[in-house]
Amino acid sequence: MPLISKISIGQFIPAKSFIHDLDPRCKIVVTIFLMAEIFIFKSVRTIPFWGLFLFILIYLSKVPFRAVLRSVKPILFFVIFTIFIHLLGTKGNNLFSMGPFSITKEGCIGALTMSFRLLYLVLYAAILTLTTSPSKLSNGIESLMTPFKKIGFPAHEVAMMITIALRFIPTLFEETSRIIKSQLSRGVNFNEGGLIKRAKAYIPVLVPMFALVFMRADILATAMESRCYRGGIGKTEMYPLTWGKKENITIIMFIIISFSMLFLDRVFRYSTFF
Amino acid sequence: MSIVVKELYHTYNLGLPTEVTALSGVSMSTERGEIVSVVGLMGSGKSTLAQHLNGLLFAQIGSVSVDNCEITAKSVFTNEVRRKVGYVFQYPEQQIFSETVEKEISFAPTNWGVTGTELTKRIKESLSTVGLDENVLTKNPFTLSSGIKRRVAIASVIAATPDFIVLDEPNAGLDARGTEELINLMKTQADQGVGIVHITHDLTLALSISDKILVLDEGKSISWGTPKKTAELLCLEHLIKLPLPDILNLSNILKKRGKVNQVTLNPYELASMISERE
Amino acid sequence: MKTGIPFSLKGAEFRYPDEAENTLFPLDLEIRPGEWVAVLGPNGSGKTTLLKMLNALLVPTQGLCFVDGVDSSDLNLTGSIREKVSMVFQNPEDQIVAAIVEEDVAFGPENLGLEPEDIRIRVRDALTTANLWEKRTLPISSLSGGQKQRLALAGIFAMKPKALLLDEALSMLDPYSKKEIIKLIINEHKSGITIVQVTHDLDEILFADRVIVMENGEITCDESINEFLRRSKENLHEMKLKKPDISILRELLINKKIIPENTKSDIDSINKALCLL
Repeated sequence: MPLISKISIGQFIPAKSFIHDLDPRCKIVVTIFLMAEIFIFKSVRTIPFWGLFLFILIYLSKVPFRAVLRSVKPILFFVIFTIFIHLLGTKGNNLFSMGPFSITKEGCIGALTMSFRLLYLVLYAAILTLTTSPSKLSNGIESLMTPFKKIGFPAHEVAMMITIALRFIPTLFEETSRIIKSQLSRGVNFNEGGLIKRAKAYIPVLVPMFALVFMRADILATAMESRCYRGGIGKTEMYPLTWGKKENITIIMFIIISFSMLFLDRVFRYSTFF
Repeated sequence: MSIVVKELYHTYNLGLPTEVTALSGVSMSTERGEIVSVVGLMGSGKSTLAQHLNGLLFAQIGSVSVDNCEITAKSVFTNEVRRKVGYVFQYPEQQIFSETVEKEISFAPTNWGVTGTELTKRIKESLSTVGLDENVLTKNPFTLSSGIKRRVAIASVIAATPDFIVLDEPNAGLDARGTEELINLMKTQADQGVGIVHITHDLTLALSISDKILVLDEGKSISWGTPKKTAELLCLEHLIKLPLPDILNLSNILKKRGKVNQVTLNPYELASMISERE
Repeated sequence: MKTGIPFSLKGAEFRYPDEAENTLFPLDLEIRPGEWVAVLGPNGSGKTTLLKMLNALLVPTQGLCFVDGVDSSDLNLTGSIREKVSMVFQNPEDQIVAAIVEEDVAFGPENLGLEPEDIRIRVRDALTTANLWEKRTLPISSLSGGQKQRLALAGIFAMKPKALLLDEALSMLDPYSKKEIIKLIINEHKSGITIVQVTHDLDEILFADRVIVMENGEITCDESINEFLRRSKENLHEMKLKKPDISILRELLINKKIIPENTKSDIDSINKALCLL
């Protein structure tokens, strides 16, 4: 049965590395800022430098390159689509023409920039999830959201929901797959007919899944109660979050690198030499 | 009509790091009216094999033929493989989605083009086969007990009058009475000419009701033959993780020590054999 | 070393809010510390309802239920009851909360507010007992059904309960996994905790001390395991139960005076008894 569940993109891979040991809050904050920064940098020539930075990160994380690159697979189509849009849709200095289509210098630059931005975005997220276990990730998110508890934001509950959702994705995948097979066996054809007919064909899958999920939620809640769950009150952690020297160094390094890249970006943009 | 499986191989995620070979060169066959059990633990490949029988999976290497037509991606729909080979999944009550029992049971036959009086007849017959009263037809299946829901789910497959029915762990979660009724159902269907393919990890059950048994372990066929042959082979060399039925196991131990002459599944037989010696 | 706790039901009744009839009729039941009680009966007999009263998931609508001498209807004490009494459910999928093996085992101890170092020790010991230590950093999705149920048990071992409640906890497992988990339960029994096991498969309870049979919300039978298994195959069949073949054999051999009366109902014990001839 169910080998689909064993494939999990962005799945946690345990290891002993500098990045694995970092406090998840530090990682989350740095990742968010890194993702934002990608869009600030305008010069295409900074791309290889960011690439080098990523390479160093991946090396430091001790996660096999293959695993990291696999996380890019789902958006590969999107990236190629973006490249095409930019290559064929941008006007400017023509480099190459064929009939109504022309590829411009601006188009090339745009394609490169956008495609790498997308790739880097996904890679940053992948490094985060590959080096942080779901529970630590959830604790980190909860901790970062704690200040908002004062205005009534249910930080713990949201974190718990994220943990449970992540835990059940493979299970639900498997069960949906089994129900689809059941209905296929009863003569359903999901590929037949117009849009409406095809959509209706999924009712025999959606209804049972909903029923399953609701029943499970009920039993899971009972099981959690049995295991003395009382919400976030008084709950401790097996691996408590500790912010120390490592995290401070990371933040400082991050600031230094960010400003260096900003400087480089300016240089590339305004200098006519490069 | 028969189902013939020849040298079937199946690998999931071919080419990826997560590649797993679920079946290695498995062969078996079954005729209408026979009860064949495929026995193995999780990961033995039994579910993978089962899904080849109605075209949910297609043979990568080897072949699967129903009624002398090989099942391929193209032929699945043209040869109505899924109409000829019904499939009852594990915990079949989970597939229920209709507002009434009647709609649920008529789902499969309707998909195969059965209507009108023929449909009504099929629904009535399938209900009586699973031991349910007609007054259940107007009820909402979600309000029924799990035992009755399971019968409704099985009825919904039988109503399509398939030539073969694959049942995946059909007695999962059932008590002794429920298991007995299920066994009767399988035997009655077989008597009426339906071929039963029973996927299970319950070796004891398989040995007691099957005409032929296929034992799988990690994708490989360990034994293929009558219950007697299967029991003898498994006793000779305990090649698999699947535990032997208690009586068979004990009789095997005693046979090796010379306390009894042969292996058996029957506790009464074993008791007599032991007392004869004493 | 008896570390188990007793249970006591006095005139305990239960009716679900929307139901017209009781699920449980006034019950009197005493369970001694360290006893392994099997609760049998068909679906709808009330056995699961009874079980849920033992860890205060349900409170009697009439009558009383005492867990280790504490009245289960006292809401202030529900937490302390659940700390002593743990429950394992039928479907392993429905009780695992975290995505990684060791993180799920830690869930219970974390809820108890224990110190991180203490939690880590309990998790290590629990995983080792359940034979899952090597898989501690793996995702749940890579475990088989039997392994998931072992994980559920590990999560409970980490709570160091004084009583273990099993709600058809083995019914979804394959024979190999069942045997493995029965071994774990037998070990817990040896350590002295009280075990109450709801099931309809007699093969699972061959090592229990006592059997209670329920029907339509009432206890119809309360016997020691040996007395119960001496009942005839037909008698048990009427109760919708199947007499295990090994029990049938044991009885036949005892009746023919081939093995002693106190031989236990398992292959090893019978084999040993035959060896001594």
